[in-house]
Amino acid sequence: MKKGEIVLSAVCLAFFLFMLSEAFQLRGQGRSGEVGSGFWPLLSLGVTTVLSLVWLVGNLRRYAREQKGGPAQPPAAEAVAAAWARRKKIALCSLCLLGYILITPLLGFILSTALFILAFILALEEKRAAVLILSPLVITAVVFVVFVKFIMMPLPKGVGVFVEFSRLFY
Amino acid sequence: MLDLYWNAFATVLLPKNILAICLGGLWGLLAGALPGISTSMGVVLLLSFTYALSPITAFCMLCAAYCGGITGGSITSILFGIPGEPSAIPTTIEGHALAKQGRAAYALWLFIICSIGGGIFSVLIMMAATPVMANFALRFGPPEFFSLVVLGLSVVASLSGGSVMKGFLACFFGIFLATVGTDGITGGERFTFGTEILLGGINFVTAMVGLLAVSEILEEAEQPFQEYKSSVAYKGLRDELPKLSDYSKHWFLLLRSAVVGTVVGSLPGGGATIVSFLAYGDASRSTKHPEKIGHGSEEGLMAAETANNAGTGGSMTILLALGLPGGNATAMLIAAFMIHGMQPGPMLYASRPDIIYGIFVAMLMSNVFLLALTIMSIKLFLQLNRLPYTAFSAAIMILCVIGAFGLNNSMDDLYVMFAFGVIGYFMRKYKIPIAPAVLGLVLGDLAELSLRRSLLLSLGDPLILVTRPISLILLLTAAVSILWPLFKKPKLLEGSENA
Amino acid sequence: MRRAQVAVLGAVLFLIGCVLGISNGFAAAYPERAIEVIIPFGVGGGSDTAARAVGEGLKPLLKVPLVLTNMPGGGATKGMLYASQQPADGYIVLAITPSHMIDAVKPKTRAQVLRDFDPIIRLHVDTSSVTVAGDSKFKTLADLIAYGKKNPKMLKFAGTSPGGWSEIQTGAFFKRAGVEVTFVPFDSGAEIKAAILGGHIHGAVEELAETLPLIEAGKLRSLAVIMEKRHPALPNVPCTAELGINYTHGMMRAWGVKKGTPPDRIKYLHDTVKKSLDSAIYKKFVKDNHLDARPGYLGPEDARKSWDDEVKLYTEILKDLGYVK
Repeated sequence: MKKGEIVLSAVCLAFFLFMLSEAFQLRGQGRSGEVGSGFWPLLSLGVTTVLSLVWLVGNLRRYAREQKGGPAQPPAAEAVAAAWARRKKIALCSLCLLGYILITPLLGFILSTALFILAFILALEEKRAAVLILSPLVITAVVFVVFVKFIMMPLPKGVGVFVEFSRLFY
Repeated sequence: MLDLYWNAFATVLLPKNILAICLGGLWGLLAGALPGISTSMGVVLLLSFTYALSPITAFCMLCAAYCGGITGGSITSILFGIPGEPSAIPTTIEGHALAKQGRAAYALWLFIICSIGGGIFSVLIMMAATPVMANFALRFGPPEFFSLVVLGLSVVASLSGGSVMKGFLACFFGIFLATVGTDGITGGERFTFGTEILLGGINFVTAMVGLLAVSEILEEAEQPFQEYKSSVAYKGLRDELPKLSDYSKHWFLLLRSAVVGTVVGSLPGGGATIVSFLAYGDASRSTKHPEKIGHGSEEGLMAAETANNAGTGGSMTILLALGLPGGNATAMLIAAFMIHGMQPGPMLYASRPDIIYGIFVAMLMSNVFLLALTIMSIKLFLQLNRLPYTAFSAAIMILCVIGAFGLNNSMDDLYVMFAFGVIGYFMRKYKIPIAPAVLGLVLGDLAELSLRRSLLLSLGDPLILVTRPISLILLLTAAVSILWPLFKKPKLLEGSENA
Repeated sequence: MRRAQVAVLGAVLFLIGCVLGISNGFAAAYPERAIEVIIPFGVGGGSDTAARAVGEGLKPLLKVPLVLTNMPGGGATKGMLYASQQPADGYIVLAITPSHMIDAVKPKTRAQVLRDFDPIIRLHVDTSSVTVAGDSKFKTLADLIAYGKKNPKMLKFAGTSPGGWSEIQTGAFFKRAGVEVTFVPFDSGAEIKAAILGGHIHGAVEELAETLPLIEAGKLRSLAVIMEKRHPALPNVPCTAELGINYTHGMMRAWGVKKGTPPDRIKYLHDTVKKSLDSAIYKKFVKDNHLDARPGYLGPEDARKSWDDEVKLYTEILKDLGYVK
């Protein structure tokens, strides 16, 4: 876990440094009298940059201290496998959500929601057939009735053929 | 004056007006509780139904919908962890943490009683002192507002949990995020990198839904399937009936929260957003269990809810006294006044006292009836409990998506939500507290704009922040409150081990 | 094998035929489904209320549902961008305000209102006034201008949109009056009025629809209305034309559709919306907000001309203010 935190703090530092360099270009913009567009970003980014540097250094020192105390026990093969299984599952779940967001404008709300629910509960390792079949249908139907029919939210209808499909419903 | 109240009660308690209150309240609760439809949208949708009604019946319905909307948002926050409005963040953090410990019913009871109590308190203040309150609210100019926001931000150390350093990192990250988009002072763009997605800035609610709700679903998904403990194993409301002592032992905190809520809620331009943070900060400093803050602190939840609903009375005060809407929902109430041929403001007091007093009583009755209505609608939402865990997660995810979409009816917000879901997941994984980041995001913008406005007013002289008495008092309070926790636990840099 | 392939091919062709049939074959009389109005502002603002008032009058006249959708963000440009990306079939209508004309000078997004939209109708024109607190030391516009000329930048005036409509009218008015003011942007009209009433700021140039109730109550004072003639609701307040200040521009509100929409559909929309302007609900809205003080209605061609003029005017003012070189 320590390595992950080192990487994360390094990524934060890099991100904040990059944004800080962007923020410097904002200097000089503003109305006369006030502190300008750049002040607040520079202030917040300055603090975050310093704090993430402190964080990174702290992580590195702790890592070095742990290394000095003798090489750590190599983790058991099962633990490694379990960690990878977890990561795979998280990645799958995030991909489902990203995919849902990307296809909704193309397929329209109804179809993509049903597909998303199916994909998402599969990613969550659901195996019961009844749940797999019923939940996409039932949840989509309920959400559709409440948000599209009742509240009339202008959810995307899709493009091409799918527009025609969506228009059958709303 | 007494006979005015007498007449108002007699009118509001007519069966048709009571029916209007119940229908409006139920609709408001639903609108507040469903993600993607805000309280103000709920009022708008109701508005076209009220054309045909008599003015007082229309106001009964709309006031009930307004109060109901503010109350209803907390149901979704507590049960599903999806905040609907920025002011619901403390409720989401503390209430949902309690729900995850299996104490959802307890959290809901705390919320119901406190929010109704706060609402009724503020209506009583409103009845007694509307003109005084309105005059006090006007004394808050940009410098006072800046100091108030700094006071709101000063709670960051208490919110940070184990590592104060990570808390500050998260908070300033949030403050930075608030600067993305169109600069409210110059109109120029910042950090948009030429994209249209970020043109309007990072919406609080979108980012909050990502950071708080989406990331939590992702984190829970990490566990292998068989280990799911159904996080929705709630007890029924009846199984955890509250005890009077749950409330009475915190009476002073609740009273303070109600006063803060009523006063700050009356400030146009962000007053309603900041009240719950101020009360929450107060609770996190005064509590005897600071370790519980962020992990299901009942005091934090009660204070935030009391203040949040007390804010409704505050907003109505400034609306009735001066015709100034404190937020979008009250702006729609102005439209309702105009439909019925009235203009809220000082003139209405003189010309139509029956309407003004009718609204006071309608607000009071709305809060009374909301008690029963809220309990009813919570039972409806608890039905989601019956879904299998996987389907429940998928349903919550869809509610998040709809909630983020519905704000601006824009797909762009969904990308932002997704990005914040992933960011939130990593923050959770590496124990970076999310609450300070959200705090910075919501209050950062208010702080920056009010600071720069103050400097425009003083032509660049920063002394304006300390030469005005209210501002000075608020800043000193903030300074004490920032420094206090640092002395209490001297582990500024270490401490991430025991986080 | 072959038969199966033929069958599949046949089925695919049939499906394609159906889809084409749905899209083109049933070209029933316009409108055959809901018409959507994109309001590029949040719920509760002036433009939202105005669009909803028109919508209330329009609903009974349309055979199809009317859906009002708020798409705020990016100073009214996000909603415009969305509308410009939809098919030009007359089912998406955009509520247009000066924000779009100002954006046209230096577009923030890929959409530009003159290039991408055709007007249906100009609905009304609002009037602004120079407003100070009721207990202000400035009793007349002459007091204000004299103070402002003596103390450059010391006059602080509030507004909402930096670089947008509010700053343009404040800047243009004072520029033409020969006064240098400090413009302080706020987030909403309510905050501005609270700041004036609380004495935190000297005043604001604000639409009368929003300030008139407080002016009538004596809490605010109008020093001048920005108009060619005196405003019927404020007969004692001078107008800019009589004071010799060459600025009389008001805030227009219009509806438009994407360029390329068939002219018969634009005509249908124009005729129906025009008829709805006579509805009781809309007339009441106009009367309550004093939008009848100057002629507002313009048909498509005239509205197009007025848009061109507005963009020219804003280009000039933005140059003066230093936003455009």
